[in-house]
Amino acid sequence: MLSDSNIEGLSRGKIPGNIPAIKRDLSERRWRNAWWDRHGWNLPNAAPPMLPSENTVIKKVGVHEVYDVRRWMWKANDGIRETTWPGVYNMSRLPGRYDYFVLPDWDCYSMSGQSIEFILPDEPWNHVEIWGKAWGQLTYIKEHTYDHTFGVRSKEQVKSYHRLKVPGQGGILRFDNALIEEPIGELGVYHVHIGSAPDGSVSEVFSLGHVNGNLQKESIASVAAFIDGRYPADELTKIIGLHSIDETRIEVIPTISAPLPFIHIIIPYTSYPEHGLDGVEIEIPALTVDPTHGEVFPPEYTGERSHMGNA
Amino acid sequence: MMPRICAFWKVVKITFSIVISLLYCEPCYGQLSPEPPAGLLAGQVTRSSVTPEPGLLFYLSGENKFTADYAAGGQDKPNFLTGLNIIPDGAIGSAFEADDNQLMSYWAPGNIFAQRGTLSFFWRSRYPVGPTPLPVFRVAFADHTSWDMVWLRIDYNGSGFDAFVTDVGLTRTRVSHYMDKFPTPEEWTHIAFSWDETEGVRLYINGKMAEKQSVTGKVYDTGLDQFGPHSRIISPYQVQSLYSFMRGG
Repeated sequence: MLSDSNIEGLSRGKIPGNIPAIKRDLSERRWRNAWWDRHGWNLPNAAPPMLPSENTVIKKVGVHEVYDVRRWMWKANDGIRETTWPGVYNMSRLPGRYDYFVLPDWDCYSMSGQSIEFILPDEPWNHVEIWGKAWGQLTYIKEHTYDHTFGVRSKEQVKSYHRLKVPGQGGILRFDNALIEEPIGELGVYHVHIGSAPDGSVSEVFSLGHVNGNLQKESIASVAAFIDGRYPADELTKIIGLHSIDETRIEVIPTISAPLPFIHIIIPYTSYPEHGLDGVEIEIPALTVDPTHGEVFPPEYTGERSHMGNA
Repeated sequence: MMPRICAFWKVVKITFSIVISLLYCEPCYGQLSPEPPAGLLAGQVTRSSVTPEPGLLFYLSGENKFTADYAAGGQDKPNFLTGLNIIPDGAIGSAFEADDNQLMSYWAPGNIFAQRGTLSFFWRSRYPVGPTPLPVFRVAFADHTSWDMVWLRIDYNGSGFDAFVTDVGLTRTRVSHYMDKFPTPEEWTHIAFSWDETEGVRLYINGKMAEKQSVTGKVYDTGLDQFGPHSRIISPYQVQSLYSFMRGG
């Protein structure tokens, strides 16, 4: 935001001078809170649960059968945050959406947007991550057992994490929206368990190194350019997969002095026509970060959780 | 008879700001560079450049015709342009004169960001406004569930100006400003709109703050596609539908 005096100058055709700096320093409460809001590290929902072991497998459970009443719905799990379940209502009650332009700016009728059912494939799962402003509860439905509400999203949470104590197998995951128009941008279901990558697969090994814009391969340059257009200057740190044997590691020259802890990883994938990409094995070194809450980073919340109704 | 307003507008400055889809307005011809060059992704920067002014992302004066004086994302040419003329007597230097069916938009990536920013321009209506609202400026989402795909809009609201940005929960941080006497077609109005997901929005008219709204816990960060004056953004569904029913031979 420019200052009042910057804008007063602009209105007289003057180039703004002495504009307010926007150095986002996460030690400052304003920037830290905004960063935590965006990435789900704020309270009051539980922080992301810790991994069960040093060797952990995270299997994404593909969900292809999703229904709101009887409408097949893909927008909450299509990998695109901007497409949501539900969409925009005709005569929306959400703040600021009342509009004098009568446009077909809606895709919801009165019955939809209240509850959505994700019909899970017959495989184990124990972890759900949700990105969006919808608040309400997550329930696991399976025949021959009682419905089990295992997750509660609060109004304050944009990203939330929900872990089952005992893995489920298939069944239906239902989200009930407390306020019917609040949307889910993305919902992912995973099976997080102790294990390691299977032996015997065709694989490629990369070391991750920093790059400073000297991106030779066109495909990588194109992805990097997309990142440059999508994110502001302090969220542009990129690391790239390098074949450690035949490529020289390029040391990073930061474009700005204090980038945010947000890193884009670009892997130059080689196409093997007879093989598909089934998985990625990542070895992460210990991070030199200060724990922010207790002994963990990102914070693990140990206080009282806020529930619907008394939030 | 519904009045249609054409306007002159001048000097778009977008500073400090974060950021894909389709902008469109009737009639739907006039697309200059509909797709990025082969091999590039839609919505990417073509070259990053160093700003001549601190924080400046995009500057369009009209002195270089329709090419932006500066575009941080590198894409400085309009991707849609129909019904625009350049006139010498703007508020300061040249200005753009827009027909009722004008179409003018620029790529957003690198040139505007959703997290925070300021949009500043001079505007005047070409003939008197009536009671019917009309959009003055719009910025489109890269992808969205809504059919209008609007992320930011500044409107003539019937007696003043409305302005909003849309957050990730579909709600809009919106301000409405009503004026006892709306500027005549001869008077230029300077409009500036600032947004910041950690602060909220502010609307300035002729250099003075007219309205503000504060927010807490908002996330504006999202992919953006294109921006420009007036007109209407339509969704990919509507593009397909319109194309099917407007095609001649």
